[in-house]
Amino acid sequence: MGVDLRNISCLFGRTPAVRDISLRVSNGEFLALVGPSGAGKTTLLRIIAGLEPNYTGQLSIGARDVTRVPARERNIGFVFQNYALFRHMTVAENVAFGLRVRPRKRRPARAAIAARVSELLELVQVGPLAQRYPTQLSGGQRQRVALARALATEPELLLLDEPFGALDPLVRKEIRTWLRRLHERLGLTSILVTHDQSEALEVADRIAVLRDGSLEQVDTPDALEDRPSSLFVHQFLGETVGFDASAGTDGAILSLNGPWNGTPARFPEPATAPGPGPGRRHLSLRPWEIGLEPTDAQGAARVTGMGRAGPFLRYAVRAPDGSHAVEVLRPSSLPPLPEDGGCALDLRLARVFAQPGADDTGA
Amino acid sequence: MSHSVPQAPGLRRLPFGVPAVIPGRTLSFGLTLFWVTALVVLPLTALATKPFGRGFKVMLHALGDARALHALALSFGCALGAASLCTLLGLLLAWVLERVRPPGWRLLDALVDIPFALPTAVAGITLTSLYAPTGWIGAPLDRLGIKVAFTPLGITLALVFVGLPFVVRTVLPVLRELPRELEEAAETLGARPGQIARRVLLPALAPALATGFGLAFARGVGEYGSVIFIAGNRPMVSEIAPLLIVIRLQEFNYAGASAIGLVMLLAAALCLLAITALRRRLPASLGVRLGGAA
Ligand SMILES: Nc1ncnc2c1ncn2[C@@H]1O[C@H](COP(=O)(O)OP(=O)(O)OP(=O)(O)O)[C@@H](O)[C@H]1O
Ligand SMILES: [Mg+2]
Repeated sequence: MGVDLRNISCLFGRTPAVRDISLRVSNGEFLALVGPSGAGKTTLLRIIAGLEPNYTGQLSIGARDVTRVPARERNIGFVFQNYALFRHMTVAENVAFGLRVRPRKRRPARAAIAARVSELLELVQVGPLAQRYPTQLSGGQRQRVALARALATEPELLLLDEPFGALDPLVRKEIRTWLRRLHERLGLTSILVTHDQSEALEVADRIAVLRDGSLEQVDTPDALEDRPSSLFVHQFLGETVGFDASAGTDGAILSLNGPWNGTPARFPEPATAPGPGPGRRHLSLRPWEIGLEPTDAQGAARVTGMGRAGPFLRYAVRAPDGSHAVEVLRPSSLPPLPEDGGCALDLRLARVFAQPGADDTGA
Repeated sequence: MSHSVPQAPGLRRLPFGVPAVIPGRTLSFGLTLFWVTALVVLPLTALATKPFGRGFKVMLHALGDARALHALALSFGCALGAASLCTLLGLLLAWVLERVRPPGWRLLDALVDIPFALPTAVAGITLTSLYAPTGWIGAPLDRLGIKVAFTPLGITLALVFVGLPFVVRTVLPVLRELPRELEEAAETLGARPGQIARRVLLPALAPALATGFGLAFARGVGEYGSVIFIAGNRPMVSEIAPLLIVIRLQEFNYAGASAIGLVMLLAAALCLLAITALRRRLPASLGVRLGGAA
C-alpha cells in the first residue's frame, strides 16, 4: 500500500533528526532510503512504523491517516538490523507470533497457522530449520526468518532497516536480488534503508537521499545518476572526480580553474548548466566518464602512472604544473596511452553544479 | 508446547586438557578444587556424618520429634512463600527501576540493597517494632484482626525483606540487556502490551527469575538474625529450624542439632538442584546455552 508523508519532522531534545520531509511512495514501489550515518534514515523508518511517536506532520498508509495510530494497528512488516528474533522461540514459533497474538476473532485456526508458517519458511528457503532456535542459525538464515516473521501477518508495507548489514558481500548480493523478486511476487510496497549505494541502485525503483534529516533528492537510480540535484547526491552515490571551472555569459563552460587552468578540454553543452549566466562552476564525473585524448598541445595534462582495475586501465593524470592529480578509468579495450605523454580531457559527460559559496561575477 | 530440547553443540567449551588461551588452567582448576573441598565439601561431609556418630537410631529419634518436624516445615514453608512473593515483587521493582523510572528511581535503586548491608538483627528488631500489636503498622492491622508479629506471617514478612534484593539484582541486569527491538518487533507484529509482557519479556526473564527465586529461597531457609525477633519463637507455632538448632546445641544435643541441619541441607540442595534443572529446560536458556547472540 502506498505511503504519503507530509511535512514530517522529528526532534530528539533540541536536535532535529528529521526535518520537514514530504514524500510519496506509490503502491507496489520499492524505495531505498540512503544517506550518510546519522542522516535520519532509521528515525524516518521508525516514524513510518509507528515506533517513534514524537513527530509532527501527517502520515497516511494507503487511504488511511495513521498519524496517531500505534504501531500494532498499522499492519506493517518491520525487519530490524539485528533481526530481533525471539530467542526463546523456535523458528516456527517466531514466524507464527504475529498470527498467535491476534484477537480470537481474527486468529486463524491452529492448523491454518501451522500451514501458513511452513509456507512462509519454504518461501524464504529455511523450511528444514523450523524447529531450531535462532542461535542455531547462520546470519543469512536469521535474516530470512526475520523476514518470514514480518511477512506472516500479510503486511502491505514492508520496512527494512539495513537488513543485510551483517552479511558478507556474496550472501548480500544473493539475498537482495532474491528480496527484489519476492517484493514483486507478493505485490508488496517496500522501503529499504541501506548505507550501501550499490545495493540501493540495484534493487530499488526509486532512491531517496537523506542528508542531515532533510530529503536531498528522490528519483529513479538512472535520474539520480544522470541528473543529481546537488554535488552531494552525485558524490554520495559513487566515486567522483571534480574540477573547478568558469562559465561565460551564455552559461557555457569556458575553462578550468586552479591547477588545471589552460589544459585543453571539451566541456558539456550549456543545457546541463545549473543556470544561465557567468560564474564559477563545479564539474563532477565518475572516473570512467573522463575521456583522455593524446595530444602534443601546450599545457596538456600528463599521464604519470597506470595499472589494471578490472575491465579498466587506471591512469593517474597530472595537472600541467604537476601539483594535482586525478585517477581516470579507461576501458582496457581502448589503445593504451603512452606513459608520461600529454593528453587532453574530454569532460562532456560532467554534471555541472554552481560552486558552493561562489559569487556570480566570475573568477 | 512440546519441543524437543536440541543438543548443545558445546562450541564454547574446550575439551578438558586442551591448552586454553588463558594460561594457568591447571593451576586455576587445582585452586578451585582445593577451595571447594576445604570450604564446602569437608564441612558438609562432617555435617552429614555427625548425626550418625551416635548411631542411626539417635538420629531417627531426633527427627521423629514433633517439635523438630514442625520447625522444619515452618522454615521451608515460610521460605517458599517468601521466595514466591519476592519473585513477584522483585520483578515488579526491577521493571519500575528499569522501564518506568519514576522521579527518584536512583534512590529507590540504592534502597533495594539495604537488606544486604543492614545487620540482620537490626532489620529484625525494626520489623518487630513496626509490626508488633503496638507498632505503627501492627496496631491498625491488629484492630482488623490480623496478627503479623510472632506468627508465621511475620516470619514470611522478614524473609521477603531479606530475599527481595536477590531477585531484583538478578533480574535487573537481564532486563537492562534485553534489546528494545524485541518489544518493538512484537509491537509491529500486532501484540498488545500484555501479550508482549507475557510472551516476550517473561520467557526471556524466566531463567533470571528462577535464579532469583532459588537464591531468595535458600537465604530464607537459613535466615536467622532477622527472623528470631519477629517470630516470637513459640514452639509448634513460630519456632524456625535454625533457632531449634541453636537450642539443641545449647542443650548439648549435638546429634539432634546436626540431624535438623542435615535435613535442611538435603532439602535445600534438592531445591536448588531442581531449580537449576528447571532453568536449563527453559526455552530462554537454550539460546544462552547454545552460544551466540540472537
Ligand atoms: N533515541 C534518540 N535520542 C536522541 N537522539 C537520537 C535518538 N535516535 C537517533 N538520534 C539522533 O538522530 C539522528 C538520526 O539518527 P538515525 O538513527 O535516524 O540515523 P541513521 O541515518 O539511521 O544513521 P545510521 O546510518 O548510522 O544508522 C542522529 O544524529 C542521532 O544521533
Ligand atoms: Mg540507522
